[in-house]
Amino acid sequence: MTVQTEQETGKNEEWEPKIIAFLCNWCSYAGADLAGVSRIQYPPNIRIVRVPCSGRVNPYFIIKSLTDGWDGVVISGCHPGDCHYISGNLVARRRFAILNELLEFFGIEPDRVNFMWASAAEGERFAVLIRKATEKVKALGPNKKFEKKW
Amino acid sequence: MGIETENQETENNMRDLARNLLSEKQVDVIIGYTTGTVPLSSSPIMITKEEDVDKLTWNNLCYVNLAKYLVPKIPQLVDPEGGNLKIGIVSKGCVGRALIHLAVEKQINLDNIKIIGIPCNGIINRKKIEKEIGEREILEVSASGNDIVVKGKDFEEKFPFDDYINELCKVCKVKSPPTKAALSEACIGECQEVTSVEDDFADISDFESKTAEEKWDYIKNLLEPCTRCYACREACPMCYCSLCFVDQNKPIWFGKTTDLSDIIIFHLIRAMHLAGRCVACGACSSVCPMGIDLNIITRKLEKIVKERYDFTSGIDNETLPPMMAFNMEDSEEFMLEED
Amino acid sequence: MTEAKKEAEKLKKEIIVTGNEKPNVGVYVCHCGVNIAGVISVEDLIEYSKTLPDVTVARDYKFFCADTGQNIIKEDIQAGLVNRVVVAACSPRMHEPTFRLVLKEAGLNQFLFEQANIREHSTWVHMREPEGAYEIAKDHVRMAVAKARELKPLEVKKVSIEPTCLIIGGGISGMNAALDLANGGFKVYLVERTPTIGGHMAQLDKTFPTMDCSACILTPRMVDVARNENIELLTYSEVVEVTGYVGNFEATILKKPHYVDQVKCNGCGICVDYCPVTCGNEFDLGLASRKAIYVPFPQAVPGQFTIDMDKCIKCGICAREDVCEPEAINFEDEPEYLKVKIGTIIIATGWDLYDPTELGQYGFGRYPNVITGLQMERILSSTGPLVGKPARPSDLKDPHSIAFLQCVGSRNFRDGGNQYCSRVCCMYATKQARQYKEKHPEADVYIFYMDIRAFGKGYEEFYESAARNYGINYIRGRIAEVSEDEDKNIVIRAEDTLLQEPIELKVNMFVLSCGLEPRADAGDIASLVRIQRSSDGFFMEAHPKLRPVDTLTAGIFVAGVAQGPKDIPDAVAQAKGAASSAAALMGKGEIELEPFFGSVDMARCIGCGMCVENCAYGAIELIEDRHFGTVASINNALCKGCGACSGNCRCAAIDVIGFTGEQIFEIITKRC
Repeated sequence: MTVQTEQETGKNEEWEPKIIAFLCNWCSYAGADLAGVSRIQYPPNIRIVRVPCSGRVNPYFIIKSLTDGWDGVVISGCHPGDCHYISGNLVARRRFAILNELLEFFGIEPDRVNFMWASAAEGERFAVLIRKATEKVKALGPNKKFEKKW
Repeated sequence: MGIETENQETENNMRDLARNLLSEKQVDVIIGYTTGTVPLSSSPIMITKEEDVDKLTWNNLCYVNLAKYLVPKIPQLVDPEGGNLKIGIVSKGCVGRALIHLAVEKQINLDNIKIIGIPCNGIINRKKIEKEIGEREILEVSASGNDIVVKGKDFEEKFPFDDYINELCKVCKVKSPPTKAALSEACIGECQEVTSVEDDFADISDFESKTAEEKWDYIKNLLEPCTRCYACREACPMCYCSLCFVDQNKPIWFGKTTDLSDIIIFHLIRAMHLAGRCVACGACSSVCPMGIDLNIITRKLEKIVKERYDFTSGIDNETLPPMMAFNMEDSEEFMLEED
Repeated sequence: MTEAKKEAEKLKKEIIVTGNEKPNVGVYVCHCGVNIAGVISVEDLIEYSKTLPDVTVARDYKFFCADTGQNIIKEDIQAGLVNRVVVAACSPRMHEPTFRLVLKEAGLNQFLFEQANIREHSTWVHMREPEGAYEIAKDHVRMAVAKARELKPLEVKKVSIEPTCLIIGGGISGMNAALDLANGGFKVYLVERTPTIGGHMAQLDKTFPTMDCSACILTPRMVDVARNENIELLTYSEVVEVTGYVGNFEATILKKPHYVDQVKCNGCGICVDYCPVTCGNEFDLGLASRKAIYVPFPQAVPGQFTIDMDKCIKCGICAREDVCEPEAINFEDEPEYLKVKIGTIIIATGWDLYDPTELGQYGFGRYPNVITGLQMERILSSTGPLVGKPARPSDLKDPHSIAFLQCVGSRNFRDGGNQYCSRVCCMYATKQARQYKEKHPEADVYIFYMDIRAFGKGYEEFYESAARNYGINYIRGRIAEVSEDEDKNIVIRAEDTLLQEPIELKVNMFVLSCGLEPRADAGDIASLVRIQRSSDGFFMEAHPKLRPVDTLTAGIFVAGVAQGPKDIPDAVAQAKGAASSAAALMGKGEIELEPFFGSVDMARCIGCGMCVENCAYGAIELIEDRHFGTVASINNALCKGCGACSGNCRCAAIDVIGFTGEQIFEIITKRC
């Protein structure tokens, strides 16, 4: 089964990356809401999944997204020290550090997976970082590394 | 002193210690190595009687990590009378490290273990030798002087010892089980004081300097032969989950096929799970039927936790491994930031 | 109808759902007026939703949150058409509780609901890219339907609420909130870190626009607080730790040592005369001095003395029997820690004045006759260092001319500057100018401003009168820089923008109307109780319009300038609002929490203990199960459902209900 993104079949438009974003409910999801309330515009490339805390994000989610055809993954949580659940983001940070190093080591483009902190008051920052992540993923082209042969 | 002489001395000392432990009833069973069923191999053995002590051997083909036999902690593996089995275990450095790390992960109780420390001088790289010999049948493998001697029906070849041991053994810094005050009770025989392990990881700096595409190609070529037999997982003392992530069904996170994408993901995630836990014993590479050498991945795992969290697994049973701890000051240079 | 029949009716209404039957998902796409429908085609989205597997019903409506919209959903549920509901509309942080209630009233388990955010995360942020917004809307609906299929019915968790409130900060806001709650029958701990309550309001002389004497309206309140049986007043104390959750917090309060026995001390003040150490007085902002043994000001509550150990030389004179008759001095005093159980918390920590030293062009800190607005307040005050006869610092002569500069440290869009307006400075400068003119009608008083903000009740009239009747000169223009002449007068260079002319002016005294800033340690308080701060540094309210006193953390409220600059009437109103919100919560006696806990699959768990170390709440421990050996076990009373345990688990043995691995798997993978 060849994994293809919707844009690739038929349409001859410029390719747009599809990025899945895991946002923590208390900070980053609220920050994204604030960007919406403030009508801050950013490119329409992300699809948002609500999780209670960035600590909930298991590397399985990230790898599965990459193997399942998503072009990029964003994980966003509260700033260290401000986690609603005290230290969930600190637990997650170590996990992400190791995953990032391994992705890089395996030659899997590390720019596809982006980790960030954005608080509930930072609508503008959220949009800026999403724009940055989108540009990084766009520069890499469609995610073809995990296409199955059969 | 040649390799053979070293091994002989180690073997004799080890047998003496084993004999003492059994005669003084300090242990119920001793886990060690014995001669393999085919050349270039060894077998594990568990003995309970003094007269079987001479079956215990030590040579450079003892590649299995014996700590594997103590995990997972299953209630049924206890003495029928209800107490816990007292176990003596022949330990080269990496086996000792594995035992200590498993104690941290609450799988074994070091009070019930006697670590028979031996000074390991390296494990022969079986696949490398096999590749050199090719189709010819190997009948005997031994050590002599500073060489490995491989004999067949019509041939005898010598290989320099230092070049033909496992890549991980070449850079090993913990050749006998590490001991600190807390562990001195458990360790007998040859053990070494280790407070911290310094390493410059120069052996993988070459790989690290490759571009992303080069790395991907290298890894692809390295892992492509994998047949998903899971011998590596079965040999690894740290892989003791009752349900491995690849065997999980609800949901099926990752595929079990030998399609390249599935293979890469299996090894990537297995590596992720071993971060801060792998003791660099090389058993996984030694048992792989396809000859895949996972040494660079092992070294990278050690490097990550050493450089970021100043941690080496299996040195100290009082320090929490990096995935069980966190710090406000942890490095986050990889995070996305505004300009 | 009899009681029994009513019960039977209720049971009949409840739809039994096990979670294992075939899901019939209803998708309800809201127009949200034109917020959604104005950017994307709702009809197309409905057609798309119908193509998704297991979707039995797809409807649209202008406002699903309205009664008529809610009834559409209720009817479908009661007709048996749907047993899972997806509403594609605004953010779930807005209306998830609303729609969950709809399900509950229709008889369906309220947790079989998922909301797809197609407004804040789609149409509002991609207004000029309707195709992109539509793609996002489609995907968000698809992902919500994927999760909805995997939702299981859950029961809410009920916890009791301790009817006690902790108020941090004993200024006008903290005190008002304390009094309201205490009079309502709740126990209150009022913690203040200085030796007295009263806050900044005690430093003010008169208050605008009525020119009430600040102390006259404040001190009765202070006495009320001290006398109220339900308020435990803890001054010279700080909260050092807060654990727990709404209704069940535990706070650790540090009571700093006074070195003076607070019971024995009768406030006679003889020790002050004998103390040999003189040092700066914080209350008078460096314009006056005090001794090492002191009360911050004469009307302080409590009135007992404190020794400032940083300045005390331990000469022991105050401890002599002939000095302190009640023998109250105690150099062996130790800090004391108090642990209390509380249900709600109100943060009323107030503000710091902006320090204008960094604005070198205005000479604060270099020229003695350049002072801040708060220092002017002390100079004017009848209980201040000059006892109501205002004079200038350099020579203590009455100034014949005074200039005020507005917007110092506020409305500053340079890097690192405070961008907000501090709200009160226009009014307090006008008030101070008027006060001075009342004492010295012949003096020349100038106020340099950008805009005059006189927004409150009676404020515009007050300002008009100041300009018209009192002859205060309002000059519209910013001051470029000031310098000093030999007599320490201040020479001002500015521009009068209305006359479009540069001005040079010499005045005897120059007052900087500094703005209000969050406390220097506001970040520590935020981390202590785990609330957020807005980008300006003040504590963040849950919703700027509809929830101005709540924070995003349940059970914690904020009042006064701690939430943002405001005047006294607004601070008191907010304090009353916070007290009322806290009372509403505590009055109910119990609260319902979402039952999103961790759950352990014991067959998969190998008891490695990683989750135990990762849990911030200590909610996990290893137990011996007779079938599965050593496995993890979660205490639901402590678990908050964050999932830090689950993110690391190699064996996928621990999961979070409400955000299960399977649900997220479906969200990631169902791509058509």
